[in-house]
Amino acid sequence: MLGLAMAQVRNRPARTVALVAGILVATTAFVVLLGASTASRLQATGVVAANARGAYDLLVRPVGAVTPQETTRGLVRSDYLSGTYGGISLAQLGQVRAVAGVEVAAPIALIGVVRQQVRVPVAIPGASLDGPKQLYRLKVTRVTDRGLSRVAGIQTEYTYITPAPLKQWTGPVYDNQPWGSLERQADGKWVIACPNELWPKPRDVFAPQTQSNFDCWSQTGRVPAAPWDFATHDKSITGYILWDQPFLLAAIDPVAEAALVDLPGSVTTGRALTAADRPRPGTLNDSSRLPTLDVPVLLSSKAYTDDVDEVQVEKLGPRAVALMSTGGDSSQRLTALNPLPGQVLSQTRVDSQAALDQLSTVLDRTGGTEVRNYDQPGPVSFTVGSNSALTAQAVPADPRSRLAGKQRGQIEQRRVPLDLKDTWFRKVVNRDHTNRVTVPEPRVTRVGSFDPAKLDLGPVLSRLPTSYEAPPVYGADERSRALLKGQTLAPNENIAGYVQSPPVMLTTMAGITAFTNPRYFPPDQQSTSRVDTNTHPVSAIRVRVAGVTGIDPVSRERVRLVAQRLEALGLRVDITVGSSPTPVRTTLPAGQLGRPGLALAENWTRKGVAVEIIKAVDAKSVALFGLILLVCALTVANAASAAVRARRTELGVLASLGWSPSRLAAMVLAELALIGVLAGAAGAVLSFPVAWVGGLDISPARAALAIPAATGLAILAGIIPAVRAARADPGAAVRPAVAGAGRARPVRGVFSLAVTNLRRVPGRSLLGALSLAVGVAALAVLAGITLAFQGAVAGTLLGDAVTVQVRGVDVAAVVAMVALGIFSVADVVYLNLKERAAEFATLRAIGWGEGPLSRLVAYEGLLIGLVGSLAGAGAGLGVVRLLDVPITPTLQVAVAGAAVVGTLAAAAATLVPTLALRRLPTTEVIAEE
Amino acid sequence: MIGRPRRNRPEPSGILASTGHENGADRASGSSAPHQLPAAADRAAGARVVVRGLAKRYRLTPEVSITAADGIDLTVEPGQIVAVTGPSGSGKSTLLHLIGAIERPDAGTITVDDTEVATLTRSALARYRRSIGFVFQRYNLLPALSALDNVTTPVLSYPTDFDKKTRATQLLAQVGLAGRESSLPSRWSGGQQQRVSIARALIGHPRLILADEPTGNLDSHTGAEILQLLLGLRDTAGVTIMIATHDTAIAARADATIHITDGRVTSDG
Repeated sequence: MLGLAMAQVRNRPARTVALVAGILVATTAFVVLLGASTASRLQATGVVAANARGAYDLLVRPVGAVTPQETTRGLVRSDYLSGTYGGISLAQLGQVRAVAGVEVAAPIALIGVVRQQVRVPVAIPGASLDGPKQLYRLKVTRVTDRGLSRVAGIQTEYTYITPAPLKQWTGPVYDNQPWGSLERQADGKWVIACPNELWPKPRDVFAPQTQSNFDCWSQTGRVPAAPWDFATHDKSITGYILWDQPFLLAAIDPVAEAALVDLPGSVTTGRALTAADRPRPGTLNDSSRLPTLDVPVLLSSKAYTDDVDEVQVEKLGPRAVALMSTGGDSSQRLTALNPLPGQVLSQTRVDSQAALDQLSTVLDRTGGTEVRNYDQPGPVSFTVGSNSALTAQAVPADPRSRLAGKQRGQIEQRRVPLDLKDTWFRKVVNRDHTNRVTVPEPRVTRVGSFDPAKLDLGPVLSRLPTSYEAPPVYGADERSRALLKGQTLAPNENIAGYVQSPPVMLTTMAGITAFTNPRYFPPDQQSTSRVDTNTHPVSAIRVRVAGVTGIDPVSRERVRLVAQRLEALGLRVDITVGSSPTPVRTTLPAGQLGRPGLALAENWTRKGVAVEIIKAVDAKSVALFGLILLVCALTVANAASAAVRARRTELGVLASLGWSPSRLAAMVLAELALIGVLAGAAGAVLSFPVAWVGGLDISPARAALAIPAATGLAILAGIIPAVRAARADPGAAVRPAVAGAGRARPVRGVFSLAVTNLRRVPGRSLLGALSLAVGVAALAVLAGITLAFQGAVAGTLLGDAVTVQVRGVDVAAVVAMVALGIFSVADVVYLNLKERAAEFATLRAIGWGEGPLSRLVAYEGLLIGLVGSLAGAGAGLGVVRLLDVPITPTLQVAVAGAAVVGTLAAAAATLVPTLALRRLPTTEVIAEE
Repeated sequence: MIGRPRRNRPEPSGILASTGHENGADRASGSSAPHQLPAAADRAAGARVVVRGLAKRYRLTPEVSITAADGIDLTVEPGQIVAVTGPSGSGKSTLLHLIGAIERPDAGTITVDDTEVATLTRSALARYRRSIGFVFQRYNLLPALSALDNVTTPVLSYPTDFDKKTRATQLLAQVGLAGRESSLPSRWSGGQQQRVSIARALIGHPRLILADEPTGNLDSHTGAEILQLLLGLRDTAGVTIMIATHDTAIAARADATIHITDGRVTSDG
């Protein structure tokens, strides 16, 4: 029997090749698609596993510190510390550390924003000590919000160079009379050339004069207006602008922070904080020798703010120079000087980084800076729009709160902080030092600087807010992105602004008391906060759980258990392992300094993303694998069934010669098995180059799987047609291969003839349609799952990364499936054509031209394609619905598009059979008939 | 030259220009009674067929080929019934296929009225085939179609100046199958199927009918009926008919007989 089967294979090469081709395509596709599917899953899970764990596993906060938006959306806001000044006691911190399973508990306690002014040098081209009297003007324009906010004339500095001697003020200083550096006039009198303070005191802090200052230089005596800069001066003349830099001060545990983000590893100058660092008594360097509490701080080397001062350096004429000798009424002098034109010498820019670098130098030189007051900007409030977008709520600006401090005064009046002019989104609570004479003032002393970029903050795709990065806030629409020039909206000098800077100064937990002790800083009477930061100073605790290796079930259970125990302590706990940043849309109303309203997206943290992705990828892999298997099986079934049908006559003859049905079926199956082995082996070999072209790696073992798969599929697919053929009576041998329809249906044209023809071979037509349906269904499911990815994980960075990486191979696999389906349709049409060759020959013989004949073939393909595509689209949507994925209009359009493409492609695929039709030997076919 | 026409009939113009459905004169034939073929007055007379130097060779293998037509010359006058006889494989069917433009000759010319068949383009060939009628030995009906649809098949996708259904119904009635229009002929007897085949051949008002062994698969009685149908066509419509046959009875009733052996005309008369 095997010999007969081999003879069939050998002596009917055309049929064998056709069958082998069908199985070959299916098995090669099977191996390659399986490879693609597996690669896709491995890639996806690999990406997820590598990015599942951020810097910490749990975020512990005071219960009241969580916003409603976080709770309802399963998110953790990016500036989770914003406005959270304390709430967790040190005793609770101890309890957290004592919980079994807690490996690291890293507390962070926000103290407040400390403002420090620094004089930043600006070169004055051409200025010389050797020349006559010279007066230069530095006009400063503040630019921030990526250039969207602009304040011209925020500061006007004058630099006066005189050959006459200068001397510092040595007389008494009274509030009601001017004082400053003195210049000796030609008549020998000493006149105030550089007033140290505006006099008379201005009533309007925003008046241009308020923001002006004088520096005086002389060969015989350099007299800088600010003594702390004196040591740096040499004979090169430098102008200065005043920079008001806010620093968010926070306390951390150096040991825990080292374990969490390797803080010591990021130290660039000086040393890291240690557990031994605590406030120590000191005295001021000036003549007052007032007592201080020296608080060791680690300063960030990176300025997070995007403030830029555009400085225009001008040289003023003799008329202006003459005004410098007019005495101590500085206000009157400035009123005269400011409108005078000057010769522009240069335009230069000073940014936050330059100011921070300068501050670092000054801190080191002076041994530290006293903190006489600090501010506590509160959280931003949002309203929720109909589309779930958040709109930041502006609050009334309260400049008095910033200016009425008991210890404020002269310096601030020279340089009005930007936040006094801009829109406020946060209420600001001010805490002033009680009395520097009776109670020591804290003085922050720099032990070193750290570079936040060198911290180990965990994988980018699962980056958690660690308080070392400014919250990434970027444009959510084209307009906003263009306005922000593709950059993020960064914090700025406005501490009440929308984006808050992360802590720039870090001290130890022991350092908190210097700021929270009500003896030093009594609570603000206007504050509505019920949190006693003295007893509950900790804002949040970031916890790493012992034994967690990723998002495997054991790790997840460990994290869950610890979370449960921490919640029992009365704290709010968010499980952040497996989280990923996800954009949350916010609307930011226009600012008062020119920034228009912006549509923003900021990366909040979506919890549990990794687990969702792994589940989705698993479901997708299973779905893809099943569909691949199905579409390949259908293709083989079609080919095998056609092969058996083609042997109908032979089988009828053998039956009439006495062969039993079982023997006939066995012979057919033996032939199919033989072809299956051949095609499987060929498919295994072919899958290597195909996979190589597709950039996939196929193992020999997987390729070898093609042989049993093809054989098994061929036999399985051949069983039903073989048994049916074997049962056929011998009369089948003389009946035409394609029988007539059950009953005649009227035929009105080529199209209805195509319909009639398909009805004659319903099984085969449906098989072809089913193959295409599987491909289209796969496409629909893929589209659905892709949309589900976007929906379920809300476009998190991790989800996007996985989707982008996976989508390529998935799409390739599904396109291949659709192609296989289209191949099946073409195959069906071709088989129909081959079996009805006599009919086509007859139609041609009786006068049908090539046009109608081709249309007839194309219509058959089109119809199968239409049925298959519609069925596939319907089935795909059904599966999508089963997966609980919402069927959105986008998905409907995508699926409808797939159906249309599938239909048209199936019709187009009949081109090959149509070409075969043209080569049909009419006479021979009619003669054979 | 194969004899003369038995009756005087008008000389037709080119066959492609003279197909019946293009002059719209056939609707009157709808009133014809069963077994009555279209009246000669309905149509122009049969076509004149002139074959010169016709050759056709089939290559079976690189070494072996069969000469199916080897320099055949013949003329069939309008309205003639010509029997083409010869042993199996002698080239009878090939001759009809070549004249019916189902095959292209290797050499020689076939002129049907004014139409030089061998030089026609593909689309003109299809038009030419619709203008003649071809009757096959095994009927070659489309098994899925009703008798009526089988008859209309040649013009199914082409516009006509007659109502296809009406004409097909008339033709089926004329071949004795009235009332069976909706049935599937694939389940009928050979004779009945051949009648449908003849009706199909007549749908386009042909002036030339080529019948390849029309009675070869039929018993003698049925064969005689089919022959009668064909003769009636000649008698009533003046159609030229060429019949390839082994049947001596057909040859005896033909106006002329061509005997072919090994692709050559060995006798005519």
